[in-house]
Amino acid sequence: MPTVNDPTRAKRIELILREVDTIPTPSPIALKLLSLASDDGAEVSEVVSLIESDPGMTARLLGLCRRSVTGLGSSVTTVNRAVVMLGMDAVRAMLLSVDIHEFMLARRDEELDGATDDAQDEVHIDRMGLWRHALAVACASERIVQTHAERFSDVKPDEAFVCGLLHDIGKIALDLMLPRSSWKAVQLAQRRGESLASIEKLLIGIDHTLVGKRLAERWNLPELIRDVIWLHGRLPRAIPDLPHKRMIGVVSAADEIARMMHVGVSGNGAMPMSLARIALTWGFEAEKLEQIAVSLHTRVSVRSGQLGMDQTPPTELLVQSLGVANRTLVQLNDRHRKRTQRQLQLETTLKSLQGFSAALMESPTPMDVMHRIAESGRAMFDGERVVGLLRVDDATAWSLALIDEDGRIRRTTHAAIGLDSAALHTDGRAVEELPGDVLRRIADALSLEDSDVKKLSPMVLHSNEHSGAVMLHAWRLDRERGAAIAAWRAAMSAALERERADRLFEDVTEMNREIVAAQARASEIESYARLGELSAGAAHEMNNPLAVISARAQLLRESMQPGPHRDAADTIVSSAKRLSDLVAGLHFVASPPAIKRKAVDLTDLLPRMIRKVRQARSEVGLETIPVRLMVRGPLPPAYLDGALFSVAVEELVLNAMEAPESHHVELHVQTDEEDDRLMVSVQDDGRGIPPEVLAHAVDPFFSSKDAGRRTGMGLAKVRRIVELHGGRFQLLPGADGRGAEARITLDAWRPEHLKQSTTTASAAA
Amino acid sequence: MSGTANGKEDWRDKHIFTTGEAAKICNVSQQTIIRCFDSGRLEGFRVPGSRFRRIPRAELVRFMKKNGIPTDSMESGRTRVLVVDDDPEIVAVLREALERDSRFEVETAACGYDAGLLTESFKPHVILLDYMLPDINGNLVCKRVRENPARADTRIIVVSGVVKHNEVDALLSAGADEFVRKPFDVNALMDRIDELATAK
Repeated sequence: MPTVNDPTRAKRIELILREVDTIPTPSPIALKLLSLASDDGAEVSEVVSLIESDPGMTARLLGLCRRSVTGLGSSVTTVNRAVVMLGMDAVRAMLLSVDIHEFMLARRDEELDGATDDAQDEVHIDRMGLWRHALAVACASERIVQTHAERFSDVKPDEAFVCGLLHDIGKIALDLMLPRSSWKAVQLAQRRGESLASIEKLLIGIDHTLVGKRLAERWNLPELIRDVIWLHGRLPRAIPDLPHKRMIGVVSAADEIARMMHVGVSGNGAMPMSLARIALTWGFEAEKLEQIAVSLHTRVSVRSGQLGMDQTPPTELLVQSLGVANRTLVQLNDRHRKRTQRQLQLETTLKSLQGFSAALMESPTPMDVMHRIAESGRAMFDGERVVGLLRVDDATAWSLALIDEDGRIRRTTHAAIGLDSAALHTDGRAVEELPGDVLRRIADALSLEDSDVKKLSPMVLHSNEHSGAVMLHAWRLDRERGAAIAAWRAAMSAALERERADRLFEDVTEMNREIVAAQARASEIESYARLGELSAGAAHEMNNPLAVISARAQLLRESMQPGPHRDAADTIVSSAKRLSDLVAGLHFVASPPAIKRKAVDLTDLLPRMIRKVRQARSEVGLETIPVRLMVRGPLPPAYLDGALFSVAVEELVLNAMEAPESHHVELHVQTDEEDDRLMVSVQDDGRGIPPEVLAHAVDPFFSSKDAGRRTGMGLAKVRRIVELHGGRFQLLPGADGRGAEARITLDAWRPEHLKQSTTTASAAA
Repeated sequence: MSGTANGKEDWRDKHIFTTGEAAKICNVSQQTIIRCFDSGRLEGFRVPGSRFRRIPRAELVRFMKKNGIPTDSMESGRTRVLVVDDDPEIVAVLREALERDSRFEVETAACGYDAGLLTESFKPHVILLDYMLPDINGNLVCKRVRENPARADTRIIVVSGVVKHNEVDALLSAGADEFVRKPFDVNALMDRIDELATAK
C-alpha cells in the first residue's frame, strides 16, 4: 500500500487535482451569482440584468416566486420585482439551487448514456440521495442561522443555505472522476462505520473536501464557500482561525443533523453525533437544533417543491429516511455481528493459545511443539486428524507424525518424502500445496489413503535450508487465527533453532573432547620425543664412562684369583651393564625403532626364547624354574618383528621366573578361530601382584618393594613393543588367585590383516 | 718381499707365494715344493711367459693341512688394530686389553684426521671406531676407508655408546662391519676382532 511519502501517491493526487480542472462548470450565470454571493453591496440592477439576459433563467425565477411566496401569486412578473420582493440573497439561493441540482444530476444522466445500467448502478453513488442530503444540510444550515439570530446578526440565512447546498460538491467531483473508487470508498465507509473522508484518503489518496476546495478555487467561488467545502466536518479545534469559522460550524452541525435524520445519503459511515453533542461542540442550543431536526423532512420537501424539482411529500421523505435508517441499522447489526464473531474467534484463539503456551515445556522438541499445535488447533476447530512433517538439521529424511482426532500421536515414522524444506517458501510466501508425489509418499509412509492426505492443506510453520516444519490440516485458518498461527510458527522456529543449537553444541563439545585428546596425544608424543632425545644423549654420555668402568673391571678380574675380589669385579661389570641397559631401555620406550615385520614361525621361535632366558640365567649362576609352553590351535606364520617380539616375550618369561615364590611358569599361545586373534600369555604361580601395584607396574621406573619384581624398563619396553605391533598388553591377576598373568593380544598378525588395515588406512586417508 | 713386523716374517697379507717362500713356511726344502708342484699335489700356476711357479694362498693352506704341517707360521703375522676414540680412557683401556694379547698390534687415534693418516700408514686389519669424533663422524671415516680399494680387506667395528637406532643403521650402511655397544665384554670383543681379521 502506498504511504504518505510515496512519490507515486503524490503524483496520483496531483493528477486527480488536475482532472478536477477539467470538470465542466455550471452555467456562467450561476457562477456569476456565486461570485457575487458575499459581496453585500452587489448592485441589484447588475443581478437583475444578469438574470434577464437569460430568458430560461428569468422564467424559472418567476416560476419560483409564484410557487414559493404565498400571496404574491402572479403579481411578480418581472425579475426586478422578484428581486425586490424576495430579496437579493433569496433569489440567488433559489437560482443556485436549481443550477447546482441540474449540475449534479445532469452529469450523471450524461454518463449513463451508453453504459449498461447494472454496472452503473453498482458502481455509482446515489446522486439523488446525495442531492437530497445537500438540500437537507442547506435547510438545516439556514434554520440554524435563523434560530440563532442573536449570534448570526451579520450572517444571512440564505448565505448559509448556499453553503450547505454546496458543501459536498467534492463528492460529486470525485464520483465524476473516479466513479469506482469513490463508490468503493462509500461502501467501505458504510461497512466499517468510518468517516468517508478517511476512507477516501486511504483508498484514493485524497478526500472529497480537498477535491471540493480545488473545484471551488477553479470556479472562483467566494472564500466563504470554499472554506466550508474544505473544512466542514472538522471539529472546531481542528479548524484554522478563519473569519468563516462560524459558518463552517453551522454547516458541520447541519451535516450531523441531516445524517442523524437520515435525509438523503451522505456516504459517510461515521455515526452522527447526538444533538446535545452537536450543540456543545459548535455552541448551539440543543432544543433549537431538535426543532430543526424534527421539522427537517417537511422543510426539505417544501424547499424541494419550491425549487420545482422534486415533489416528494414529507411523509414519503420520512419513509425514505426510515429506509435509509433501516439500511444503516442492518449495516450496524451486521457490523456488530461480525465483531461479536471476531471476538469469539479471538477468544477461542486466545484460549487455545494459552493452552498451547502452558502445554509447552521449557525446552520442547520440535515434535513436542508439533503435538501441541495439533492440540491447540483441536481446541479451536473440530477434532480432525492432522499430519506433522518435520525435518531437523539437514537430515535427509523427514519425521512424520499422524495425530488423530483425539489429539494423540497415532503413528510416527521417518521417510525420505522428496520434499525440499528450503522450497517451502517461494518469493517469501509459504506454499499453499505440496507436490502430488510428496503427498503420495507421505500417505505411503503413514499407511494412509492418498485421498486422506490430499484433502489436507499444508501450513508451513518453519522452513529454511536446514530444517522445515509443516502441518497438514483441514482447519479453516482465516485471518482471525493469525495470532495463533504466528504463535505456532514462533514456537516451532524456536524449537527447531534450539534443536539445531543443541546439536551444534554437541558437535562443539565432541570436537573439544577430540581436541583435548589430540592435545594430550600431542603432548605425550612431544614429551616422548624430548625423552627420546634426552635419553639418547644421556646414553651416549653415560656409556663411555660405563665402558671404561666395565672394561677396567674385566681387566682387573683377569689378574685376580677366584675369591671375593674377583666377585666384586664381576659385580662392577654386571652393574655397569644394568645401568647401560636401563638407559638404552628408556630410549627404546621413548623412541622405539620402526618394526620390521617378517614371517615368523612361532612354534620354532618360542622354545628358543625360553631356552635363551634359561641359558642367560644359568650363565650368571641364577636358578631357573620350569617353563611350560602350551600351544593351542594351529599356528600359521605370524608377521612380526621377530627380534623385538622375542625381546618382549623373553622379558615376560624372565619376569615370571623372578616372581617371588614362583615355582612354575606357563607360556600359553593360542589363536582364536572366531576373531582370529593371537594371544601370548605368560603366567606364574608366585605371590601375585597387589591391585594397586598392578595398575602402575608397567610404568617406567615403577618400583614397589611389595611387588618384589624387577624394576625399571622391562614391562614398559614390552608394552611399547606390543603397541608397535598394534596389539594390547595387559597385566592381570592370576586366574586361580595365585600369581600373575602378563598377556599380549595381537589382532593384526597375519598378512591378510595387515593388508586390510593398510588398505583401510589408505582409504581413510 | 714380505712384511717384517717385529723382525719376524709376516705372511699374513700375502696371497701368492713363490716355491721358496712356500718351502720356508712349510719348513721343507724348495726342491720338495717344486716336486709336489710338478706332480700336481700342490696346485698352482706359472708366471705367463716364464717358468716361475706360483702358489695361491688358499692352495698352500690346503696343502699344509692335508700333510699335517702346522699353519701357525701362515698366521704368524699379528692383527693390526687401530683404535679411534676421543675418550682417552677408552683408548687406554682398549690399548691395554689389545696389547696384553699377543695376537694384536695397536695404534690409536683421537680424531678422524689422525684415523685417516694411520689407516694409510699403519694399514690396520681392523679399526675399532667410535661413532662421535671431534672433527668428523664415524660414518664418514667408514666411507673414506671403503672408498680406498687398497683397504678393501680392512674390517671396521663400531664401538659406541650410541643408542639411536637410525644412527646405528646409518653406520652399518656406511660400511661398518659390526656394531658393538659400550660397555662391552672385553674378551668377547678381542675374539671378535680376531675372527673378523682372519676370516678372509
